[in-house]
Amino acid sequence: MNKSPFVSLVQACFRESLRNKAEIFFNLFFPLLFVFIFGSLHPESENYHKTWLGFYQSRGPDIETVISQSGAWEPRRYDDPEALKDAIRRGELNLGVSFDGQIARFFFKEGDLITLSKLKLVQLSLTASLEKHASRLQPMFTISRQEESAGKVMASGRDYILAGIIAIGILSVGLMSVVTMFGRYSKSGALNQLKIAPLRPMSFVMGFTFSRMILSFISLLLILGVSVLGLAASFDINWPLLFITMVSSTLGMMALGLLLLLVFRNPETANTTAGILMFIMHFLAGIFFPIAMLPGYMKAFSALLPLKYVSILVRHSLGIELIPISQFLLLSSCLALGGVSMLWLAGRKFLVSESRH
Amino acid sequence: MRFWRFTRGFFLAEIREFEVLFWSIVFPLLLYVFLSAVLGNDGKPRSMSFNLAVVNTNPASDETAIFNQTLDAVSGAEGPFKVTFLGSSEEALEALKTGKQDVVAVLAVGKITRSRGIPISLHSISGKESSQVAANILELVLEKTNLEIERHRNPAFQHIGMAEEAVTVSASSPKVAYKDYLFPAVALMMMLSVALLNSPLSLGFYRSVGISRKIFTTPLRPLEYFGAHLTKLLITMLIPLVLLYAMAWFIYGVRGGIFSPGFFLSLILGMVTLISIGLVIASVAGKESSVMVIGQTLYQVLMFMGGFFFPVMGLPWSLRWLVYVVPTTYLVELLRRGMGIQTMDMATIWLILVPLAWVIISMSVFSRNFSKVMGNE
Amino acid sequence: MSKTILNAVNLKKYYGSTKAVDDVSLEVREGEVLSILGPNGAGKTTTLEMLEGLRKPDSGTVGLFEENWEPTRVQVKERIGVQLQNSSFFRYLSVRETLELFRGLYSHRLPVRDLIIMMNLEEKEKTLVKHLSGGQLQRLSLAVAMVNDPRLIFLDEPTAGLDPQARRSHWATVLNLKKQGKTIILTTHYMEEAEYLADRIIIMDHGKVVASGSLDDLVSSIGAENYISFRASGRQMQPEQLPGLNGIEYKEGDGFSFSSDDVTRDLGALFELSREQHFQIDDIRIRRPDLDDVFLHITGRKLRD
Repeated sequence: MNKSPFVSLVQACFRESLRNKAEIFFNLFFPLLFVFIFGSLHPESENYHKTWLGFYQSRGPDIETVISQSGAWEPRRYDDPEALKDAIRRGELNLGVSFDGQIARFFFKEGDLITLSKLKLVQLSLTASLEKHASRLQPMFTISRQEESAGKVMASGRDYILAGIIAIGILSVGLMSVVTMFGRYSKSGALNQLKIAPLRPMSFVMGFTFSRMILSFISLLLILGVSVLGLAASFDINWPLLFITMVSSTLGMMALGLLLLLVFRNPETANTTAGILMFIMHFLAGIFFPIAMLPGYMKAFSALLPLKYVSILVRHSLGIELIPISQFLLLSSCLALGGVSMLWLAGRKFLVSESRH
Repeated sequence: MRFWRFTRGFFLAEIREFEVLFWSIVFPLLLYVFLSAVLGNDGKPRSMSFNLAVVNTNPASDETAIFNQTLDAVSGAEGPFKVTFLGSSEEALEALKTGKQDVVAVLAVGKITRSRGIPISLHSISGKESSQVAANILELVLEKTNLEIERHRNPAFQHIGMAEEAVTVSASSPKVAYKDYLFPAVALMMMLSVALLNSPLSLGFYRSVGISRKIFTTPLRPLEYFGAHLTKLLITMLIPLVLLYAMAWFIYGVRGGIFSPGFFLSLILGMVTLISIGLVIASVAGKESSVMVIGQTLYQVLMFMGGFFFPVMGLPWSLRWLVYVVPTTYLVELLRRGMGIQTMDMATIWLILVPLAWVIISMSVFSRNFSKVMGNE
Repeated sequence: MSKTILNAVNLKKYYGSTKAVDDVSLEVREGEVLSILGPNGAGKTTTLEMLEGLRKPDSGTVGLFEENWEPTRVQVKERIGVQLQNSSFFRYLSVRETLELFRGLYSHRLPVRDLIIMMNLEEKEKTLVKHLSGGQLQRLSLAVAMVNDPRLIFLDEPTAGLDPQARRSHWATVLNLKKQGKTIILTTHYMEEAEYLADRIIIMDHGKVVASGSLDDLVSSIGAENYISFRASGRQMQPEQLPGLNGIEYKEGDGFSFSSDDVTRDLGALFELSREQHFQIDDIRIRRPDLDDVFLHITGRKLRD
């Protein structure tokens, strides 16, 4: 029985991807590297020692109780200030306090700017607590913190980052592999071979697209698997919505890649531009740094980046941060429509017209 | 003369490629600008902007007036908060969950008294960094206000003094900003890109297309060809380094010994170490695709595990051993110490010996594969 | 009598169990053009690379020039020019810059302008290598091989992939070099190229030299003065039905052919057979044997197969 052109193309494109070790690595395993790095480096990783606050006390109200009651730190007693400082030097602790009843002296490692950024808050809250404890005073504002969930689960910072890495994985498969593969086919003349075949342009792009979808799905499963099983990520996965996210986002990212190929004649230039865009999107799409913390001129730019919207869809699908279903459908539709339109245009451009020189 | 003529042409041939120009020279400078802008706030909220929803259905009182004055101080043109007053907790929490607000402050109804004060619950989204940061800042502001009020109104108030001390063994303890911390990391990143990617890629490419074979039919010796390759790499590293220095000095005001002989020697050690690792990649990776895979993986690992952007000594031991193995940990610390910053408790001699060990091992591996790498049977 | 400029004795090169070059010996005289002819995979390029010093033989020796130097010596590299099979240069250098780069590696060098004119590259002088066509790249490759005004030039498949016009132009350049007294060793799988350019031809197959000599010597060696070919129509004929025609064979698409040392007699016999067997003779041709016939005679296969 003869295979349809679509099936033949899907098989061919997929086999080619699978046999290209570099492509397999960058699409499937490279995102896992980021999962391991950022999953482990995040302070909420298990066994990360940041939550210890070392202390030495010579006099005054009991600081250990105050530290314990803060809820944010676990106290660790040291016998003298030098032992406390040594522990900080060795990296056992990031922060320590020595209290003589009058002055709370805080120790931190020179150059540890992450701790330094939190130091003010720790100082103020701890000394305020000590003052309250010592003076038995009633503060004007009695502050309590309440964590809320924006989704179905009480997500951690690491869950947000892992969701962002999933979005990056989809971006990579969609954008980069389209640019490299399409560019490669165009340059090598393989597209010309297809041009002279009795093949409808849309059949080609659909076959090509479907093979990308399969890769995207495998990448997604791998990252999810490692996140949930290896890093105990707390996702509440809505599989149908995740599937829609994957399909629409992959289409959207492919659209971006094809746009680059249409704009830049040279596949190598398109590849470099795609790499630059990936870099910009990594940093400005709110995955590793919150958009609120960006300078004003960067915030405006981040609203234009498709990765930002892919991240929103992924977080919704994983139950981390829900959005109204109408918004979900609108975003997905926009990405999908954009993708389909570009694919149609690319099909006509690459498989119908003559030389692009 | 033959050597320099060849090196000149060799260098020109590479630097004219847009990819080489961008990734080796432009990209690290952009990264420096970006990371300094984003992370260079040192925790100060001056350029941040958060949406704060306040729910206060209590009648007006002195206490709520103080609260409103506190809000005024942190909103408006100078403050980081854009304040919206909402009528109910449900409405506010809904806005928080849908991302319209970053933090919600709910003043407890009917519980405000002179003796009890104002119970305020701050609601933030678990795990969402912008929400957490917004809540942290607001809590900080409210705590500060607490202390000020207590100090003024209560003569029996027991003031606890605060002091801070940076733990370091360096003689001078300069005030460190993130741009200073970042400078050595970006310098090393520039070298990493050239050493781990450019170098093995170009060796492999010239070998695969036959350019190196053509060169070996000329009187140019294999060692001269290799020397030209190294010289080309060094020039490609020096150009962005000079630009980085100019940017750091004139735009960001980075100081602290970056022109000292020790710092320069550390940079040279960095170049030698990373180039030697790149030569190992060229030895083991036969194809361009393999170079990309190995090079990119090593690039990320050396960068993050080396503590370029944030401290890594708090990692669990399942990963921390990697921090001690990678040479970039030592190289970046050595450079930082040249600027008066110390982040590791380790004798300086180790910061030199470990990278040197990497150089020796790498060059041994490379020398065994020299002919194969250079494309000369 | 011109002196020996290259002497290779008992060269062998193995890749695993495959004998890429199996006991090849050759001697090249100064001023001659020697062509190494053979099908793809015969071992031509491997042999040439051993002569150039790019590949180390597993056994055997190569001696160049009067001093009988090994090809890896710098003194040899100063005196030879090499055009490799796959011409590849730095893509982002111009034609002029490429020539300047390579001529800078030699003690003795020709002016860049002369090389550009010699290879008709004036219009492309400032063009980047990546923008050159196949033919222009081959001309640049030959120009680079000539930067040091070499005594001995190695050309590995110099016209592979070129159109007929570009090929003829390249041949003219090679003959011009020969007129200047250069010694040229070239490999090719184009029979016409070897016939046109070479003073002497070495035929290789499966790593061995199967024949060597001038074109006339090689052609004479198969013992046939002429080949007669024709097509038979009107009736399906087999070679067995055509007795008396020396070495008659049939090939689909080509028709029948046989060798003849007396064309008049053999044509008469053919016409007689056509009357007896009731078939028509179409498209009759008479030609002299070529290298393809020599190769067929020696190996049983056509050079083009």
